[in-house]
Amino acid sequence: MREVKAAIAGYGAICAAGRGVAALTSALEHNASCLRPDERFSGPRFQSNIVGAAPIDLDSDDPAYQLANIALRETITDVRKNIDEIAPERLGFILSTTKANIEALERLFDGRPCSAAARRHLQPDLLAADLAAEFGARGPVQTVSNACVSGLVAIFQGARLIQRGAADAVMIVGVDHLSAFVVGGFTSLKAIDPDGCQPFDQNRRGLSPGEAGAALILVRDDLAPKASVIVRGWGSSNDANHMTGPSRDGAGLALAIHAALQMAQLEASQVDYVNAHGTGTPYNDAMESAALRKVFGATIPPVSGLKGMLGHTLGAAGIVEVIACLIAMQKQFLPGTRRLQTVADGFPNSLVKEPRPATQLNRVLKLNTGFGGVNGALILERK
Amino acid sequence: MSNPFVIAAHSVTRADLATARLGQRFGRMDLTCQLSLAAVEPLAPFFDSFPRERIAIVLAARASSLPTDVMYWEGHNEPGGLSPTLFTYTLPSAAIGELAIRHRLRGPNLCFVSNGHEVLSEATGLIITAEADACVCVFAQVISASLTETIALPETARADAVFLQRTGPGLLELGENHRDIESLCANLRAQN
Repeated sequence: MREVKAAIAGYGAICAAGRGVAALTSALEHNASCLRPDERFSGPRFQSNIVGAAPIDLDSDDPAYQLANIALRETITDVRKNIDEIAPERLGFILSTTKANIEALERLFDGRPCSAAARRHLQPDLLAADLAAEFGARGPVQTVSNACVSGLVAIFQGARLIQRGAADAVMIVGVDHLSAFVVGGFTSLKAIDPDGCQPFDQNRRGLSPGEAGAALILVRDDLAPKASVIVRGWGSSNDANHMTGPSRDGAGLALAIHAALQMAQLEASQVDYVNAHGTGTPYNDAMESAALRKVFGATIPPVSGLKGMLGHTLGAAGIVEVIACLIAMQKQFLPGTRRLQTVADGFPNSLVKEPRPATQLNRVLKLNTGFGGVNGALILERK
Repeated sequence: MSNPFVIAAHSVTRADLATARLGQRFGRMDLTCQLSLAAVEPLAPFFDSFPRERIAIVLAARASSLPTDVMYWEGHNEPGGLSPTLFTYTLPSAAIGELAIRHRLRGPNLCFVSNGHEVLSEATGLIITAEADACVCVFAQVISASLTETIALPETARADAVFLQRTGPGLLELGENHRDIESLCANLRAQN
């Protein structure tokens, strides 16, 4: 019996690069830095005001819904080019988020106006239910919240639902918005680079918070003949070591990568490009480099990370960064690593600073890691 | 391939935490993590049958991390500022991290925000597709008194945990009528 695969039939995004995939594409091609000072995070309560803010209404009491809605609308428009019709009962929906509409909690504490809808969307599963209903998904609805691996895990889940026949298509949206709650939290951990993150750089000092709404639709590959990229394999693991710091040896992430390669029935040498998590924290980037050495040995494929461009978008990270990979695969170029100036000692020589044409970009490995020791690895392949 | 087997199950409420002795870290954890660890602890002897990277964790948190979010944000205007310890627990998947650390569980993990309806089916999926050979399943329900003003759920503090593995016999084979973890655990308690 033919194995069912999940293909990516459409996508949309809003992030620090701007509204829409075209804006993200332009940022990738020009290796733009979209991190900017933001007055909302100035002052002694925050380590830095340099963040990756998306162009949304700052007065909105429901930024999570706003970001998700914009991304989903673009995705729906995009997908109509690739698939004819999916019955609503066969259309699933997965939300990936770490904090949903945490804006509502801040407003309730401050006594600021907060609509019933915004308060409702404080609960991630209710945000998912409302979005699923609005976009006509009457199949399985799930809310994934696996820290910063949420986006990749949501894609794994979508592929699983399709492979087991629970859905013919799955709408997946990742969202997290900038908030004092989160920026203040990373400040309390002293995890933010005051001057903006520098992934894999010898002078890196921390992350830069960001926000995004990013969505894509997975479809049973036989229903989307025009879709060009499939989900080839995935893997996840846990370091079982520390709640906020990764294990130094990269063994956990290497385990996830090996699981993805095994599922995809690929050798490591068949990976054309790695899109890293690359937060810019001293420990994450070192761990990721160690994991890549464990898996690829001396021959690490080209690697780049996007958080110097977009910031760390938490629950949206896996999805917006996958969309960047899809753009790169379509246009056959390797994205750069914005704000990387001097590669730290011992890190991969194949780190890509500036975007350049790819010799071939058919199989991409996407990585994310997160608090609680979670690791995720996804392999995408052009059909 | 047949359905997985329920090897062990356990449920706890806040009252059970009074006698819980689960390591030095336990006292610093939030309530969701404490309940999750206490619910899983009696299942741990069964983990030794598997390599730790072959044991998955599937957890659902009824109210995300909102009770801890409220506690954390209460500190934002305090002289000491926000607590980095509490910030660590403002993720529903924090309990997965604590479970993984305590029991050295390095396999796949899934964290949902829900009423727990998908925990058993997703764990079954991981085992049937051989992404894992066994799975720790947890449903944590923590709704604090202050949170009931904001979300329409009653105050509660409990966790249910089940250990599934590929082969039996165990307590029972997971069947179509075993829809959700909470009622499964309740039925097993009633049988005992």
